[in-house]
Amino acid sequence: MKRFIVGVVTVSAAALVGCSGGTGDSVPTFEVDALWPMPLEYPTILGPVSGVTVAPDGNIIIVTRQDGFSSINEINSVTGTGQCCTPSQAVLEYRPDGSLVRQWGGPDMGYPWPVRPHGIGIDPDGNIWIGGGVAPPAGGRGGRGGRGGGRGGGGAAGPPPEPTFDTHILKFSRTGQHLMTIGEVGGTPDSHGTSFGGAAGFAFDAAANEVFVADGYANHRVAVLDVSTGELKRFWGAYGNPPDDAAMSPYSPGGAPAQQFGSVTCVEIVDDLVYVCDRENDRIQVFEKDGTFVTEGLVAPQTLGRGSVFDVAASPDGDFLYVADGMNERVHILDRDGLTFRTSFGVGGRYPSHFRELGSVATDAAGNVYTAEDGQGRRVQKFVNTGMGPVMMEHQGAVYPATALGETR
Amino acid sequence: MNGRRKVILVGGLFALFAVLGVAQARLDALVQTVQAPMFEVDPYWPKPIPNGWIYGTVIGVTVDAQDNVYIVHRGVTGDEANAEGDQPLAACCTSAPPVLQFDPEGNLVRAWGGPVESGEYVWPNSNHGLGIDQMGNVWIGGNGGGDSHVLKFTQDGQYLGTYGEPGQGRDSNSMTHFSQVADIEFDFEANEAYFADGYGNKRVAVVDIDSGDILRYWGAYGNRPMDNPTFEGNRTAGVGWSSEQYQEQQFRGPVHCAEPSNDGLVYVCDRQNNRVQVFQTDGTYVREGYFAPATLGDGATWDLTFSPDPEQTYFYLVDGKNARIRIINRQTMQEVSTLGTGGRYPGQFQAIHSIDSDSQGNLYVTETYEGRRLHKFVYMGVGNAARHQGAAWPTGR
Repeated sequence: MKRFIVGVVTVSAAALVGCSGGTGDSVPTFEVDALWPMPLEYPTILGPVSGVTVAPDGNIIIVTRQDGFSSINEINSVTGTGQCCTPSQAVLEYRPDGSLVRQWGGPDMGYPWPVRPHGIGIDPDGNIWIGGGVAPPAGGRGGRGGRGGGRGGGGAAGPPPEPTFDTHILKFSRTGQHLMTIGEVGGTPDSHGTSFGGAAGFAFDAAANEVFVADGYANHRVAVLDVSTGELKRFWGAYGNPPDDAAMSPYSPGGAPAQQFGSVTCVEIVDDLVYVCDRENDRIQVFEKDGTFVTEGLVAPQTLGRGSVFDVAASPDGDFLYVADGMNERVHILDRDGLTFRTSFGVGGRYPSHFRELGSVATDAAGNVYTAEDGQGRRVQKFVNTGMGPVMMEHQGAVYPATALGETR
Repeated sequence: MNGRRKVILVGGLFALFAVLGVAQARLDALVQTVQAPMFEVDPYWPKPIPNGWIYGTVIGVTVDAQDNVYIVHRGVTGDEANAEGDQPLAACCTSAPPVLQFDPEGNLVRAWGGPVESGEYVWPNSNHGLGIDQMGNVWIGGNGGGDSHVLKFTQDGQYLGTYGEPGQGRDSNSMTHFSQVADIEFDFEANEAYFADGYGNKRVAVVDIDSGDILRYWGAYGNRPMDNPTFEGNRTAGVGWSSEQYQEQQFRGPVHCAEPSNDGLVYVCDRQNNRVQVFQTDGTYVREGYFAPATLGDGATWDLTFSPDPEQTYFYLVDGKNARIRIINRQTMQEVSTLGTGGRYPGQFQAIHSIDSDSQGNLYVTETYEGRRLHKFVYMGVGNAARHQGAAWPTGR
């Protein structure tokens, strides 16, 4: 019980014990590893981390943004005002021990890098897919993290003009060789067309050679493409309806369920079912691979603003779903069967197991959880699976190692 | 160069690599070690705070005689304060009260401060810096508009008094008020407080601890301070400016620290001139040191604290522009090692701002801007340290 001896937390934690479920069934338990991954060499820093995925060999791959840095005091070795810091390249691959394998990618490298890369996936051939998250001005992400600073200038020949927002998807080899651009660069988002609208996540069906795209911030659909050609094969909206890009009324807790998606920020395939994040509507919708609606579940349904369901990952056995919630700054653990809430971990802030703009989650084969923070969080964090245990608290807060909370030094 | 610095070739590079746990560290950074204080970051200190509270910019830190650690921060607004207001958007987050006290184990002990409707005192528009006197009372400055005063509280937040007059403008020769005091330190033997004064004024102000009367003040090199001095150097990126070339006769400011040592000297941070000037307690100029002298923008010399040995052999200089704590030999004013690097993980800084030491030599540092943390570095003794200790993660990692 040492974990709970955290000053005043003791009181509130005790009051919350046993609030959840009441089934007594065990759930996965976690401890943050504050010293993962290994530090980058001075003066290199990570930008906002807008996607994380785990490769079949267990390596962890993240995509980072190279916009949003403060011109006042952050990338001073770029602006010529100081010795630190310089952004890393956009994509970083880490071994399970946290050591860096390679980094690659970014603007001005001969391919149309997204204005704001968002979402990363690895396909059955081991290739890397990257989307982009800049939506039109009315897209609901206004007012956050200015751009500018950090993007290199173009050469004399002049690169193509930057797209207004991200309507394409990029495919690379594992080592960063550009393989394919899918969708029109600088196009117009259209939930019925071949231009994407801020593609935010990917899932793969190896048998069918299909990629499922969470599309996205401007579009309001799941789009299914051929992995090899990028050809658009089918798409659907909420409840399997034809998608509609018309403006929607804001989510209201307890109101009539929206018949269209808000921001579609994730797609995951577990046991041949397709799980989709409908972020502002605080819900996960579940489909057959052909788009037939199966069921849905609400997560933290009182959440307003940007919503509660940013990203989803499954435990290796498929029994649990981990929901990254960047509005409440925690990871929800759900039973996959029934989409019922069991417990959550994490809390707002800048320390280990604290989150600022939590946006992505992934799992490895050992059941460890990796989270990525966009905006001013700018970390990938590792949560070590410490086995199954009973639900002790509805909201666990920061999951520091028990030794770290009991020891003095 | 520094005569005390020992450069030792290390044969077992690979072993050192593993011991330091530094990924991709440059070979040349590891070839030499130096005799210097060594540290390890404690990634789990302080412990999480309750109530969904979150830190804003952590703009001051001080340690009391019992090694309790106090910080002052500014809270959060906008989409980081989604749990605030009559109709909160989400369960996270709510600003913690501005002053937080931690015990040596990192437990939150007290939380207090902020504006009061009663009008009993004027909380600073932008609180900045705090110090704790020998009575255990907490002094707080501010660098916002009209922050021309310093507040004094008991350590549990009971208001005791106001020094200077709130709402006044810049006057570096005023005997009645300050202008945007950045930090407060004490000479207990003389019963005097030293104000780094500050963002508005361009001076060090020495104040009687009991009465708050301004006893004396001075500017750079001990000169009479000027409110709007002109400077020789063209401080612009790309023109090769170096603060060391010009020896500017006024503080460029902000005057960001004023720290009395135990041998009768006062160390003053002239942040945007990238220098520390040393004075006798009467304001007589003694010497100066420049650090990363080409640094522009916010400057390189933000705060400092002394090593706790009787000789105060070293001082630890916070450089928030270059994301390092510089370990400086106090006699030679030369850097012997550095601690920290850029980033958002333990031992990494976004904008390191303030520093203090406890009786054991452990360091506590805070970050402003988007860093917003309080870090603890555990003192590991003086020994063969890396020239750049980096994030200083515990050995074995």
